[in-house]
Amino acid sequence: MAGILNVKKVCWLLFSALFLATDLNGERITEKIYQRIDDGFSCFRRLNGTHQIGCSSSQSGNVGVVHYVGTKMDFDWLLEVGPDAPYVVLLPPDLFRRENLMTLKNSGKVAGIVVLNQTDTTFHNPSPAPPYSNDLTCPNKITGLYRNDAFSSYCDSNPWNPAGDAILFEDFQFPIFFINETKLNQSVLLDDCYLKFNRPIEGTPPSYPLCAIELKAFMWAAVDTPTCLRRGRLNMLLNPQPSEYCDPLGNVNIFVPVLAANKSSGPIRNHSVIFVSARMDSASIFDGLSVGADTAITGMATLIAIADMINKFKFNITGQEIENVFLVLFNGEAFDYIGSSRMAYDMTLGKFPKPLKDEIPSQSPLIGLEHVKYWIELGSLAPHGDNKIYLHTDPKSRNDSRVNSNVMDLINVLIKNKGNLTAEPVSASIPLPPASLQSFLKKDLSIPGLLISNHKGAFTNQFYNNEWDTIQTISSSKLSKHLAEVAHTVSAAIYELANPGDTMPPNIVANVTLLESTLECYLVNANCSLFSWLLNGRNNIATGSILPTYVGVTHGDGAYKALSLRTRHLLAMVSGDPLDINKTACINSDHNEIYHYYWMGEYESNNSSGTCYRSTVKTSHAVSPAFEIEDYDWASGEYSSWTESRWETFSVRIFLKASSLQAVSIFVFGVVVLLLSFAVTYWVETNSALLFPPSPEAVAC
Amino acid sequence: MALLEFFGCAFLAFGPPLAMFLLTIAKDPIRIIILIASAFFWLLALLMSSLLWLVANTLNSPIVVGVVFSVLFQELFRYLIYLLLRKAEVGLKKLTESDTAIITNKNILAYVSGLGFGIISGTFSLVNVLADATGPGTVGLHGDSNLFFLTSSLTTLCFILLHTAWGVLFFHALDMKKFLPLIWVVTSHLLVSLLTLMNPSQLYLATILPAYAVLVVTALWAAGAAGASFTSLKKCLTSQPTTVQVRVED
Repeated sequence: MAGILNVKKVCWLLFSALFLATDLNGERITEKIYQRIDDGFSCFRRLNGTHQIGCSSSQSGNVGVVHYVGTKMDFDWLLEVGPDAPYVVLLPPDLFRRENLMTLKNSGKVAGIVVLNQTDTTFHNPSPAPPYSNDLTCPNKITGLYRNDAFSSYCDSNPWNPAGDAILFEDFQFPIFFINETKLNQSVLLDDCYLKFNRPIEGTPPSYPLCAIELKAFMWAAVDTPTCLRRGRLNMLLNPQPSEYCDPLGNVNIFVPVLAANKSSGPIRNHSVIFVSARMDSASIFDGLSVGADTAITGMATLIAIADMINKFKFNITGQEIENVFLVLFNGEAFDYIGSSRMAYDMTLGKFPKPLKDEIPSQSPLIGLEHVKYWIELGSLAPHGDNKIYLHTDPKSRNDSRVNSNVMDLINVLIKNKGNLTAEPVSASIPLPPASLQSFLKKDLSIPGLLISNHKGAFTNQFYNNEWDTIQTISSSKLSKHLAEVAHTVSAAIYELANPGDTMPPNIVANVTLLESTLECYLVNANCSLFSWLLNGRNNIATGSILPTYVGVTHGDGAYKALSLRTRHLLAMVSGDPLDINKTACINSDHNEIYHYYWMGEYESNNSSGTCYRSTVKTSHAVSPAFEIEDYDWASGEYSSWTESRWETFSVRIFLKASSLQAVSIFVFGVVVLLLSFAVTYWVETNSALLFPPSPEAVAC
Repeated sequence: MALLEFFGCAFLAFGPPLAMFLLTIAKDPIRIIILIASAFFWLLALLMSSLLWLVANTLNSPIVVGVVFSVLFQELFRYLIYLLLRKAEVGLKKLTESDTAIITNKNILAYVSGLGFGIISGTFSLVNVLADATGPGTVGLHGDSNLFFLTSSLTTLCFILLHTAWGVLFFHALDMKKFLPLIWVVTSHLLVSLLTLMNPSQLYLATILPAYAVLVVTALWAAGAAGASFTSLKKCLTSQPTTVQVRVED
């Protein structure tokens, strides 16, 4: 019995092994019909308190006949002739502009748009002619400092971002994709699809079959943030598989108190902390395409260089004048100052850095707005032709004579330490450009602060919050040297403010190598040795890819948290103290709310054994207070109310679309055959006795 | 638009078998059982073919080998269902109470089992194609003919009807111990199956026209085997179909 069973078992095993071993490659007809296109970035939907912006396809995807628009003539043909609507329009990047988009949107003939970015053999993107920005002409105006006062009109007549076409805030009822194609391979969309099937010859419409494209980017959320949140709550109650429809934009602010202070040494004095801040996010229409080279990274890289310099003289900060210096990177600033407004909100409620609790002995003392002595914000800093920096201040706070004199002190100390730079204070009557500082001044006008940037009037950054704000547009031989000089100026100024009458020792210089590798990691290739070093080789990013700086959402995928993680480790390295302990001791150290221990540099290809850094780097929530406050008035514009819709998938595929004549003929043919066969079968069946008389042979059998 | 094409193709391929099933099979439970049984036998043939193909595929055999053996397996299992049905005849006689036609006329059994083979093989060959015909795209982006769905449906229909005719002819040949129709069934099955190998080179007409020619020949032969002739055709064209009532009363 057992023997038989075993034989059975063996047979079964052999059988299964045969199945598993063979590569069962079923080719479906799908592969004859469709071709997927993978290198795409999609536009998606965001919502604020009152509106929805961005794009969405229908749930099954939008289908349209492919039409390439390269010239004005193509446009006219599409709008005036174009008999095969709906179309999906292929646009070269330079034509992806407001007037064209609006024409297409209003024509009613368009089911979607694809921005076709064809890189040439050198992989050098031919970026569109500047200036080009999709943000507003007055970014973040509605939640800014001046929204209700006389200064609000300043930007209307002297826009900070004159190139802004506000496409980012437009609501499209169709999907928009950004697709990269290299000309090295034959272009799938152009050569295999449009030119082969769809090109009108001398204005005559092409004949069927036509090449069509399906764009799928269905968005679950609609209308506005309160509606979407309400629907989400309802769904959580009623649906057996509940899911929200949208998530608040949010990430983390990263900050470093340069000196570790404990609450046990008592609360700190008012006006005794210098804040240096920069933003770490930018935005674009397309998911995953937001490098923000000048919008965010130049200021951020400078802040990291400053952290590195201050770390060298932090023990010279005696506490006489200044008790601490805070270096802050704000997140979500592109969407109505999410990070800075949250930090200001937390400060006013006594929750920054963390609410004090008696049971936790190691905590930093509370920092409130009243503790701020100076605020230095770093804006866009890429040099555009000259080595000038501009110091912007706020006229509202400078009405107060104490604030005004403090601001003058700050300006003077910066100018005194300008080195080779030219530092020019902008007229005191001109309001601040878009800056995180506005969120703090909105809460407390007694903060003396200024913004250092590379523009006096309108932005010199030609691609503010645009997917083309990349290294190419700011690349110059003196970029890192210029940023190093700004870092030097700010660090020296902080040294002098902390030690009045003293100057920074000349041996403390900005680390240009650090700046260069930072810029490389953030702007050129995120699979860089610096990031790998910080993460002990576990960087896991494809070579040549660039991490998006878009703030992202607090829920779900970690794509946008990858950048925060690396930035936090980078700050821990430049601002931390290397300790002489091994890995186990490092990981098992007493991590608390003052210190955190980072084991970094155990990186094989670097042959480095690793170092333990003790750092005061912390993160705080960068989610708008609007989502914390109960019964928040969404229409008030007090805080950012942006949410991002959830979606299931982005997909693009091309295929042929048969003419309706062919489809109808096949249908009619099929129906005729069906009816005929019923008639014939019925006739044969009723006459079967006559038609098939029992044959003598059969009877014989 | 693609949905129209889908329904057109579905009606085209499965319209005639549907009519045959509803009007000639569905009325009698015994016929349904036999239809399903023969469909199951075709599935067994498919299983054998796939196992063989699994092995052959690892040896990088050309697809011709698979086709030939698949045809041989199908004919083998047609023979097996023939044996089974002849064995089961005694039992069937006990089961049938109202309709004795199925016992007296052996061709009915042959027809039912042939249709069972046809329906199941047609379903297997076309369902995946039909599923992709629902759209939004049609074949042709990579240079294939955009009449792919139509030709697939026509081929499938041809095979369903062929299987029915083959079934009648095959059973008749075995009953009569005639070898010529038997050889015709096997060779024409091989011929038509091998003809479909020309489809990848898009010689659709070269497949479909001979296949339908074979269908006409086989169908006429099978009808003749079942007793039909010009005289019987003439007779029922001229006379009124009064026989219907008679059969029902039986």
